[in-house]
Amino acid sequence: MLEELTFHFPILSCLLFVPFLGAIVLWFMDDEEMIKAVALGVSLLELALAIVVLAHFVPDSPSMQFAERLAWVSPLGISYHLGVDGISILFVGITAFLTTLIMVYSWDTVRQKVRLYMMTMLLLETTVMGVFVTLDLVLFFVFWELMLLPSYFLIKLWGGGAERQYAALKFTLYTLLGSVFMLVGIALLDINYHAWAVRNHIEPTYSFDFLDLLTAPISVDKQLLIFWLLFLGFAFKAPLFPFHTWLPDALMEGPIGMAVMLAGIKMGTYGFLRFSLPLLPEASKNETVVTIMMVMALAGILYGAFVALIQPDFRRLLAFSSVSHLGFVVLGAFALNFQGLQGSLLTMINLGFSTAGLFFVAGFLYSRRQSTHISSFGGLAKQAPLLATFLLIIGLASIGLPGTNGFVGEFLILLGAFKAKWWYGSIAVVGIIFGAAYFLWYYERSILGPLGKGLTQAVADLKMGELVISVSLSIMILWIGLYPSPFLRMMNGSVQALVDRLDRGTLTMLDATSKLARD
Amino acid sequence: MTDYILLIILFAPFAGAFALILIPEKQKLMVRVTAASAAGISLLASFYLFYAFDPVKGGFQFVQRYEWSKQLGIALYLGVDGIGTPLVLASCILLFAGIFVQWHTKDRAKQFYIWLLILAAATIGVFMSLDLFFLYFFYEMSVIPMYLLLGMWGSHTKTYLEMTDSEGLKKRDSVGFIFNFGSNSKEYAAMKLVLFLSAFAVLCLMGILLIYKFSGLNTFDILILRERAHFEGPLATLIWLLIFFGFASIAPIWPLHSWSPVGHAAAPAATSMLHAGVLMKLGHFSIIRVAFEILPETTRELMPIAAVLSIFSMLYGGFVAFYARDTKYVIGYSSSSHMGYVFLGMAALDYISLTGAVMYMFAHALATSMLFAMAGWVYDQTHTRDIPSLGGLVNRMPFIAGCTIVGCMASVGMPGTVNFLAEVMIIVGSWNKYPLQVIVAVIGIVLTMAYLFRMMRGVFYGAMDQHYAHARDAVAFVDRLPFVLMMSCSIWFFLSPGHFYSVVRAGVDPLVARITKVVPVAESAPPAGPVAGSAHLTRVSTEGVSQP
Repeated sequence: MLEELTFHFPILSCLLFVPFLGAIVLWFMDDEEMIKAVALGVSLLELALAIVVLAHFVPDSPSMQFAERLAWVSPLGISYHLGVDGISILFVGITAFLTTLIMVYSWDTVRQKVRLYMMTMLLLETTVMGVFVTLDLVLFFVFWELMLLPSYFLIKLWGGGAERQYAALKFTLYTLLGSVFMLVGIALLDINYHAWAVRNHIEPTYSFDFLDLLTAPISVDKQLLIFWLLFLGFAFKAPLFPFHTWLPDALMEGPIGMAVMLAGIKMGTYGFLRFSLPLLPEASKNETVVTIMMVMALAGILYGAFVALIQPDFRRLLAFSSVSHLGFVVLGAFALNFQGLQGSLLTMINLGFSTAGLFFVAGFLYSRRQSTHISSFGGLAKQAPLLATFLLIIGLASIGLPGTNGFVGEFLILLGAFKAKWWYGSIAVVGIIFGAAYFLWYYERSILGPLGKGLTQAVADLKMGELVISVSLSIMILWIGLYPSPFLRMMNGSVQALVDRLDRGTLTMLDATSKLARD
Repeated sequence: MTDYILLIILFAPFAGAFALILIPEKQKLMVRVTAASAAGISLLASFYLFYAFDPVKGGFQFVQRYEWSKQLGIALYLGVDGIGTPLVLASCILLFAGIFVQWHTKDRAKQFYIWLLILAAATIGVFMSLDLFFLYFFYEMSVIPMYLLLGMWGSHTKTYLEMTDSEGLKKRDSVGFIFNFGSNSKEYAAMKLVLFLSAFAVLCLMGILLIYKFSGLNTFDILILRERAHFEGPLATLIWLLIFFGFASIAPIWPLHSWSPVGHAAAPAATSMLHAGVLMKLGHFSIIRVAFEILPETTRELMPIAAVLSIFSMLYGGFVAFYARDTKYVIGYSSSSHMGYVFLGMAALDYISLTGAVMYMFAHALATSMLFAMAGWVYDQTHTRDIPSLGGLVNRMPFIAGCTIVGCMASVGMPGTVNFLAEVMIIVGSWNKYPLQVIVAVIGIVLTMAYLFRMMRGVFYGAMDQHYAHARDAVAFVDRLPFVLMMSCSIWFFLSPGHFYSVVRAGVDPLVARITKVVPVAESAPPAGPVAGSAHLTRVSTEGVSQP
């Protein structure tokens, strides 16, 4: 059994319920300015809590930290079990960080149904946070599904495009389709545990607890079945190529805030690292599975990059670029070695700064010209130098320029891929070249060169709120790019434990004795 | 202080770039002075480095090491040997000169200087890195600033932006734009340069990752890898080819050169200077640092490839330069042609020729930068680079004309400039192994003379178009400073090459000894008392192949 560290204060529960309570408070308020201020205040409080969690997190440790456990539905073995380890800790930070920025962004840009919007956004934050801090699979599933509700309404009610109804429905249906299969997979995990527990006279006989499930051995055939069931849930959510078709629609039609959440917080691939790999190590190591996942990753990298190259609209371009980036994440994860897994995790976090940051910039562009199509821009560098500069910094991070966070993540992934199967890595590097091509080409046409014909009146440069967003993103990008070790150290312990688990299989337990391969 | 000299040289430009971010755009003088003083600190420190480098001790000196990730075996590991030292000096000279060449830039001068400083710092970083990860890190980092420097501050024919295809769509809005060969726009040049270089950088990355994977040492440390890593058979060949062609693309070797003249032509003067002066040398240097150090046997087997390609480089570049009408194309193609000499010197794997190659890199950096600075000045005054339409400018700008003559002389390799020494060493050193290439190289020198003198005549002599009657000479101190600096360095190192030569030999000797397993002639000779100038040779005989 993994060691659990507790904290003298139920801080994860606070993280979970502060936005929820905030949303309830907003319900009773009328003044719009007041509502915005309170919503921003709640998200700032949440960010402060997340920073406390990050600061008190013990690095280089595989244990579950800040653990909390309450019985919930005891006969079925469902409990309210929270905890974070090296795999999930940074997601907590990025969720709180991005929500705060979204609140800043929404201050001037949301004009209709402000109260409802802020409430929905806070509820979304609660559910997303829930996905990352729960250790009970049923609780996890509850948050996973609940997340669809605020997402659906955010796209449907505040989306900017004409097809937003369709996009919202498509997103919800696709994700639901995947999660139904995932639920079956979770049930099978529980049944397997039950059979094993009864045989060995272990209490409790039913459990959905992640840590309990880790102790039960599973036969390889069953692992493969469960792997593919979970896979459908995660792949639709991520979305992996070829399950990505809902993504461009949702990102195009939905509001910028939603797009930032969808593109910046990689829940699907988190699912693979959190559940699939440790619970089903033999299946994940299986030659066929690895090959299929790698091929899918490579197809995603190349397809996303090719399609992004010819997109004239910035938001569509970003949608396909995130398909391409997700390919890298999967590539690193299924390299199944330390560097690959660490790079994969770090890249998921990086995308929360770079891709999500680019969506913020797309929002800045949209609020100026009511469009992100290339024809609306041209030569912006002259009129809006700050906008041009920050678009460049964040864009270079998404390309993976050395000195930015993107480089560190991509390098680790390629290192892992080369260590595992170097020919996969050598195909993936093509994606890097196209990544540079599609971003720089868009940048060249919209920002450099002479003023665009369509630009009749002057385009304003960044305002205060937008500057706050851009600067805070740039700081994080450069911090991780130049000095990543605090972030890498947080992951080290759990990633090493995961690698050990993959090496030894389900028959041996994941335990606190797994040593770090340092020095 | 001395211990941290490399950090000072590397981080002064970065610190300058950061300081510039904080200075408001309106304080123009402040912006320039900050950029110049950051570059000045690096320049002084690199002169100190150059003369403090101890050629008798040899090896890697002024070493600094900071762990970056122990688990991955990555460290910020800096150190220079006799090959890196002169190139660091060249980068600093060109950065300092470049800032003064662009002193009158009006359009977003602050941002221009920021990117120029980052570009120079990244190249300096490559010349210092003893860690493959950071070598690649700085190498990649130098490519992206080029994109902006070209795309924002470059120059091109105006009609290009209005060009439409048969369906009435603007050409720059179609994907074909990226592959649109033959166009003359700065955007095209910037895009081509970045895509070309990042595509080939990816080959280097693959090579580096293969070294990491198959060495099994779990480190990127070049010094450890060169002692302990052994590669054999097809794997070694594959890695060597990836590394060689990956880095040779920036050098640029024929037929991978096509991005380079286009880039030169579009770039503003200071960028062309850094591009031709040091960015191209990143290729040769990285091949020496990675392929020569880590794969010596494979280098011995495969380096003839470079000797063959260098023929084409020298001849093709020379002939195109002869027929080019654009001043910057002439200088750009002449640079790619001259890089063939460096490849020849490297391919011969001889003590003299490799020393000559390294000295040539330094010499060429100064010579070609003088010419680019000249072309930039003429363009600023006349707004054209078209040689036939220019002429007679010697009366308007005698100082610039004088500098151009010195620059041309240096490029040709006339005695009086350090290029002469370097060229002679390459020719002498390669003769035994590659006589054909040496003959081609000599023809190349004649060609160089032909096209450079043709350009000089076309620009400065003959009848002058009255259109250019307003053209000014470089009179102010800040305008003359870069020319004087580069000229005096070029002449100074011709007059006193002793220290320069022994520094380079200190880097070249152990390397060639390792690759060819042939020790310098001086070793077999009986020790006949102290002979002037042979101190470095006897050192090799005692310390031999081993390195710290």
